[in-house]
Amino acid sequence: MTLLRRSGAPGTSADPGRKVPGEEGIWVFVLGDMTVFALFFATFMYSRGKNHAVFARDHAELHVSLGTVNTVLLLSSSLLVVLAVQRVLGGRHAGAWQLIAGALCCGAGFVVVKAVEWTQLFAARKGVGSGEFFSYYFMFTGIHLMHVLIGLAVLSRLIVVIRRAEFTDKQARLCETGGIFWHMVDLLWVVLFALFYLVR
Amino acid sequence: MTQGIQKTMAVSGAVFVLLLFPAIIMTGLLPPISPMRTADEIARFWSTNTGLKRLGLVILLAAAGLQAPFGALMAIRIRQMEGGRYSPLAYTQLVGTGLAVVAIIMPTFAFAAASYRPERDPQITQALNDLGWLPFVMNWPAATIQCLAIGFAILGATHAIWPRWLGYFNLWCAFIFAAGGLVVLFKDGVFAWNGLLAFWMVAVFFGLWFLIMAWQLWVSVAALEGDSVALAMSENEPARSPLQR
Amino acid sequence: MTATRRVTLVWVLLLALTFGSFLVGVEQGAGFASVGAAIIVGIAMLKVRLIGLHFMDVRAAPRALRALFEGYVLVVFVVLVALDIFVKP
Repeated sequence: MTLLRRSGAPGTSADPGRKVPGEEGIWVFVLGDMTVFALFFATFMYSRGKNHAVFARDHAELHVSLGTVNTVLLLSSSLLVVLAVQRVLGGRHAGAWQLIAGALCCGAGFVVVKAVEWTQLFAARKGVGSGEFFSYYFMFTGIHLMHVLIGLAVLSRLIVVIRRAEFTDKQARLCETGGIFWHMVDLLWVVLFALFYLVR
Repeated sequence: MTQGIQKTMAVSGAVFVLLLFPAIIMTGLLPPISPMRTADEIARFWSTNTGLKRLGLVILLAAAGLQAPFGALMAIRIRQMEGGRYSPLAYTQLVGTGLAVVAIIMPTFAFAAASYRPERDPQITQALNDLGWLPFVMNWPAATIQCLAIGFAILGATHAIWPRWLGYFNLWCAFIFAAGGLVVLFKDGVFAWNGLLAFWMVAVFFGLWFLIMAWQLWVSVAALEGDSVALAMSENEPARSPLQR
Repeated sequence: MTATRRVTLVWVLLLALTFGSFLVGVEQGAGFASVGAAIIVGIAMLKVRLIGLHFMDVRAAPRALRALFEGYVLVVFVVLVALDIFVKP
């Protein structure tokens, strides 16, 4: 069973009943970003192959438990966002904003954990210039963090939009679109977590 | 403002890119010289093929100015999309355009100085080379300011002129162009000024952005033919242009 | 099942996979490095696929978009594992 579909552009004749989730244009952004991050992942794996011993040694300095906590936080925040968007699209948006607020808290938690992690690393005198592994680590998780911060702004906006009295299809679609951006942030982290924290 | 003038302005962005890349190749900036090179190697670079390199720099300067009419027409479109008496995003776009012209001419001046007296102390030539390369790759505010102005104008448009995917594309490019901003932290690797991500990826999308925006500007000229006056003055109902899908 | 139950189950699965790969990450032995890496990357891409299909609702999207997304997951998996196996110092 799929999410309730509201009236919008009908599916094309080749694909009746199927509709692009959210506003179509967001997929330009999402697929583009996913592709760029794929480039990030590939350059990291290539460098790791060339410098395996150094990468393995530096990888051991990361705290897998903190990375796991962050992954759980983002996955949970995505669930809350999906549940909120399901409500919104189903026409019963009351109560949806609390779910988004929950997601926002999880996202904020992610930022806090990341700050703790980075502080520990800086205290151990590791920075963006401390060898290849750490320059990739700080650059890629830093760029991802920027996405998280933008995502938090987007989620905040969704809360404001949902709480407004006037709520039409346009606002519903905005919620779905914003949700898709947030899921992208989650999905990118899943791979970063695997490559930096798990793969030795 | 006739259609002919508008179309010329639209095309100037494409012409800029089509001049920029050959000029960069002539100047020897493609592929970029590595930040790891010694002062002697850099001095040697700037003393070979000086005629060709200097000609490339002259063309770079000439090409840089073409961004001005291009950016100005984009500002007009933003104003038309925003409607109303004042258009903050259009003004922001114009600031970005000015910065974009500077983003090319400033490094060009530094490279010109590097090329000017091959017989001088290599340390000085290396410093001038750094003064050229760092801003050349780091100058992301110029691009990001424009992309954000255009992106937000499209997504928040009162009068729709351009398709919304173009707004998302611009927001995404805004991000991509910022990748060059950290090159001062790296002397090699993917984030150095000759790196895969900070240079090559950004360069590809830089060129693509100009071509895509030139195309969209060109198409909007004919589409707005009957409406330009009405759109600029109107503060009422959002009008839907035939471009909007 | 309802949409709510479905996405909640997906979330549970995602958490399980996270903890599962955490264990593989911790347990990697020297001799089976590439196998461990392939499993970890594979699990990650599986999670990406689940997020895309169920959270982003790509499973109800036009086939072209779904094909792009699934293609991405597959290509990234293959490329990353290949880089792990074939790139040597």
